[in-house]
Amino acid sequence: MELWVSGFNAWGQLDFQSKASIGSPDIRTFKCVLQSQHIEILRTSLSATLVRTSSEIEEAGNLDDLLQLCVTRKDGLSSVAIAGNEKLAEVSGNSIKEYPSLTSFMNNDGQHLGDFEYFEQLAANQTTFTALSNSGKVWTWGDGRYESCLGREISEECPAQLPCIIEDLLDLPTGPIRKISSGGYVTAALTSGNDLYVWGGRAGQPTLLDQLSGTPEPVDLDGQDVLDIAVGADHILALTMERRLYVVGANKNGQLGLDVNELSKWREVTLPLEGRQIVSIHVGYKNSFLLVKNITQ
Amino acid sequence: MTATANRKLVDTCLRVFCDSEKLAGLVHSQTKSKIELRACGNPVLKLLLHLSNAIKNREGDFDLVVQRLDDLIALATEKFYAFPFKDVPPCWRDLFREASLLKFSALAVKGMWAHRNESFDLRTPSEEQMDEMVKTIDMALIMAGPPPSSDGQEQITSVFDLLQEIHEESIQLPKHDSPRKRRKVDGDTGVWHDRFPTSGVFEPSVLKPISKWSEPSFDEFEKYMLHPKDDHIGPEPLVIEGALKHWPARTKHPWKSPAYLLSKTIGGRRLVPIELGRTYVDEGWGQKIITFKEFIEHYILDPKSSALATGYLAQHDLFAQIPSLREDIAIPDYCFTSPPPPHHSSPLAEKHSKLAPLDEPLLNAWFGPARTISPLHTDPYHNILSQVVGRKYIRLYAPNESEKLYARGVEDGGVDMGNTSSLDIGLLVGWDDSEEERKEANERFPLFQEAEFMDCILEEGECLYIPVGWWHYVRSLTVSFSVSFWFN
Repeated sequence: MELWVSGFNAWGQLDFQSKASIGSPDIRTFKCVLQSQHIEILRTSLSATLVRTSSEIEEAGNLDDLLQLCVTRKDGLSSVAIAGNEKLAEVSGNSIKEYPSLTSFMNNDGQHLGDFEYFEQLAANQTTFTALSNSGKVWTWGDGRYESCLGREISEECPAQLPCIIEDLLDLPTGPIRKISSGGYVTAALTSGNDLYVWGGRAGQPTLLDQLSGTPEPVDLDGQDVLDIAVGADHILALTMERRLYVVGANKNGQLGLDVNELSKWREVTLPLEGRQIVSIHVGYKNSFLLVKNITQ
Repeated sequence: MTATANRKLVDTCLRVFCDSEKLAGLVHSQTKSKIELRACGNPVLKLLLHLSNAIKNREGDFDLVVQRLDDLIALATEKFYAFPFKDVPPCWRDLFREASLLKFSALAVKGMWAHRNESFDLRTPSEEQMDEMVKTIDMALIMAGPPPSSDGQEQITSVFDLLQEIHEESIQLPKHDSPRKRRKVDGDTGVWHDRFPTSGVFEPSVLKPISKWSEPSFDEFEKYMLHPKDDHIGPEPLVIEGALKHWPARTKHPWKSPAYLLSKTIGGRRLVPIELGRTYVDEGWGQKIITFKEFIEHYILDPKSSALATGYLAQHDLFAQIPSLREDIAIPDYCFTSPPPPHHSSPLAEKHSKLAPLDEPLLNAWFGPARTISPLHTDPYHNILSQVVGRKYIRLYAPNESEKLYARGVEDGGVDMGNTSSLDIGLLVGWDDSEEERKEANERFPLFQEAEFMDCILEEGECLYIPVGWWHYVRSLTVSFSVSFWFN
């Protein structure tokens, strides 16, 4: 497998090849930085990247406290998500807990927000948490100032700060949700039938995408089915079933891997991948990660 | 000499703003530090230290150093939005300020980047460099607030003084007189007139003139306030003549001269917050931060040429930002009298009485073109409104008229608008909009016609005493620059 990267690299969080140092320049076109029999992205943060290869856990950049904890536990802690406002959420089984900060999480000083369904995924953006259950339902909660990010209405029964279901994502034409991703002020969801939905936006900020609003809207990528989605701080990646990579959003740090200032409409990025294809996509803070495999494998 | 000012500036940047020792101390301290910046986390501190060293030694890729500082400023800005305003952890404001001061320093030493020896190439910063430097540091003050320590605040003040000095030297040298700096000239005559336009806007007639008094003494004024004609109303507004005649702003440092105002703001480079839209209660009202020069050129000197909204530099403490303008005015002695407490007839009297006594009067600048309107409202302090440049129509209603004035309440988003009236005076009296709209508005607010008022046109050089709790509506008739002095 190969790891391809592009984007923000201030702490050398993309430099797996060389022993990186602080002050590295950004990487502005996708390039391969790591090869191994097996690569799995455990976690990304503002300043570091943690991957598991067939032999070991490898880090790049400068570890912050949460990634340090991941290294100690040899785990990506995927049941934990941290928002831009420093709040932290944790799902375990049916239950959701919220902590005011990483420190309170370490001290196990959190608040139980309720028991719902068995959770499989958890994501956070600047102010919102999103959780996905094994039956494909999506719960959101967070800062009520940014109602669009919740993808649902705020009401007395469903206040902003408590997990509530996004009803618009129930009974979709192509089935329940199978994947969620969140970043900046945007959240995205993929159905089991491979349709992509997005919602969010922040008033006063130019929207990443034309159709962004407070209700989940389907995204059309030349009519293709969507295999994977990754939402960053100010950019989005989408991978179609035909293994074509689409990008949109800011490019100040090269996170789109294209020679453009920014994109308000989706554009395809083509990479020199003879005999190989992208199998999954990931984002960090203003950077992008692609896992690439030989087609014959 | 510019070289001296420039050397001092570079010196401050390298020795004070690039504080690598402090940053290194924070990176290596494992214990909780009193310095808030610590809370940004070690990666951020290490990057700041790296950038500080790069600037100190003027090594590495200059553009990358500036980009990384912009990245950190962007990170801090993202945090300002992620938290409710009151909950933003102080470390992110500090990061915004530290990164901005480092960026300022990088720009200041740009000319000698990659020259590590001490024989500085002390070229005066270019126009563009000056633009960027002033913008960087002003933006930090506006977004992150002044440094918490008084030392830090003094350093910022001295940096602005040095920039002002560098600017003044540069405009005296003819070789620096680039065409870019020459201001717009009169289209017909081709001559630059150093004055504000005198436009003819509609002028309301004064129906109930406020009494005037030429230079009352301190005691006379205090007595005027403490012994009102009518105890049911309390002290009444008063136009004071002659009180500003010694102000430098009206004599040797004329604020009616655009060139003077531009010269005091580092060539118009200082950033100011501007209110856009006719009044702050209008839909689509907004604020933006622009340079003083843009404000003067687009909103004051040439407001008709563009389709821009009315821009108003309103209720801004310009004098804290630009202390040298503060020296052009003086706090009127009247502000140091002991005024009576808020009059019992004011529905806001109790609220206003709870305000702590001010150590010093609160100063605000009000600078805008003709046609700015401050809608009918009350303030929590007595006010000496001083008219330095231009003319304004002002209409006042006593506190005991409050129930005819339809005060607004707590509105969507929890903002208390109880000090602002729902009444649009210009519409209700028929100065603006159509006759039909006037009738409609009067039907909606039937008590308005019964409300007693007083009015005046405040002329250049006059002051208006507005007692606390009095409702006032202010409409500029020309380009106008006023200073309000709040006291209690």
